[in-house]
Amino acid sequence: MKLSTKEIQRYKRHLLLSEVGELGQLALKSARVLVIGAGGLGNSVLPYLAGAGVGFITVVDHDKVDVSNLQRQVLFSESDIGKYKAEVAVERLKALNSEGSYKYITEKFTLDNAIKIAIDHDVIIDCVDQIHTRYLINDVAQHFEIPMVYGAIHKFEGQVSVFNYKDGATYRCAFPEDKTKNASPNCEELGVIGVLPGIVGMYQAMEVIKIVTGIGEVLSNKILLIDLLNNIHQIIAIQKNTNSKHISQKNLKMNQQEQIVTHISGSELENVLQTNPNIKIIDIRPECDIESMMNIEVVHIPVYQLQQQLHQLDKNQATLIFCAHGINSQWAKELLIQENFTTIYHLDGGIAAL
Amino acid sequence: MKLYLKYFGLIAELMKASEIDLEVSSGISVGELKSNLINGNQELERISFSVAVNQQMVTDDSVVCEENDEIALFPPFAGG
Repeated sequence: MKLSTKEIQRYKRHLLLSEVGELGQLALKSARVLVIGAGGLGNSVLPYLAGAGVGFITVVDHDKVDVSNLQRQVLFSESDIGKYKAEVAVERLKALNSEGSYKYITEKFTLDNAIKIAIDHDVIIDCVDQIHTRYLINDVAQHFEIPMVYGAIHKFEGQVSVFNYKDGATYRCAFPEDKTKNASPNCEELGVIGVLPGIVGMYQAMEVIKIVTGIGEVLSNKILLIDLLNNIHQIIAIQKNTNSKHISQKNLKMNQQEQIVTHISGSELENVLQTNPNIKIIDIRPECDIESMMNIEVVHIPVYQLQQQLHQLDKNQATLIFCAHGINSQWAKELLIQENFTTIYHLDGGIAAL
Repeated sequence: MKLYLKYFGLIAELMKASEIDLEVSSGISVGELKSNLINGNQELERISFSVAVNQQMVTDDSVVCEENDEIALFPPFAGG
């Protein structure tokens, strides 16, 4: 892959930096990032990432623009009041950099949709305003083994960290969950100085750029505490607690099994393949005569070899399994769930149903 | 002995200070220090927060503080 002449002009100031250069710019172009929350932090993170040339950005926010947001959420104008934040944000990003691909989701990020939303991203950027959603983002980041770029604000103070980076400390290591304690109030309840999310969000954007391009030292196993009133920037080291991972897994598992498996009928197959061009199709019949489906290669792993060959598969890639009548594939499906495959499609009724 | 305490977020508001010097008995553990602070301000009890000794977070309450240690108390922030 190479940059086009247009891109070389657009990213000239990045290309002049020996640390970024063409390779760094191409890495940004290939990056797929998920920004959860298009409030104060999201408004700061998003334009800098789009401007920097991040190739694919998903924005999730169920909230609508309110007049009280305009004091700090700089992507929005008075005429946007009442519109979905995620939708308006994506409109602005398109105007800023039409080279990028953007997607918006106007749903609340919950245990029910978390896995489906987060799949196929390289980094999750936590810009939400509820502690319990932050734990969920942490658990999902652990599930996909991708970093979570954390930013949080309180009146004049901010916190920044990169959790779960290369198996480093997680949000649960820094802040073990204690449900007996009160949840911290958010900006709506407390008030916030408008500049604060701008600064914290830009720290987050910079961490994303560092993660994607591989430059500098990522803020992993550390948390940065910022106090704007007193100009304090302090870094605190955090140790990884291996128990945190088990809590994350337990938390997701309650809902996971139903979420990660999609049962499809023969008539739905074409649509699934069209919407998932990167899907891995596995034929587990002992004798197989299909080499491809809609130009997607079919991998043949006879059912009795599946367990031994699982390590060759990418558990984060969407995987479709089928057999002759949809019976052996039921067993295979359970095996993939146990092995923590993240997105499984099961062809009900097998080849016989086509 | 003297400890140097730093409070962040809601803790600073409850304690009405962002940093203070505190005189404590020598050999005090992080857990004992936490109990002392909660005894002085009951509201602290209902807040979840993490503790760092000399910029290193500690999860073990039995860690013993030493003279002039810098102890930071920081809760997770919700806002975004």
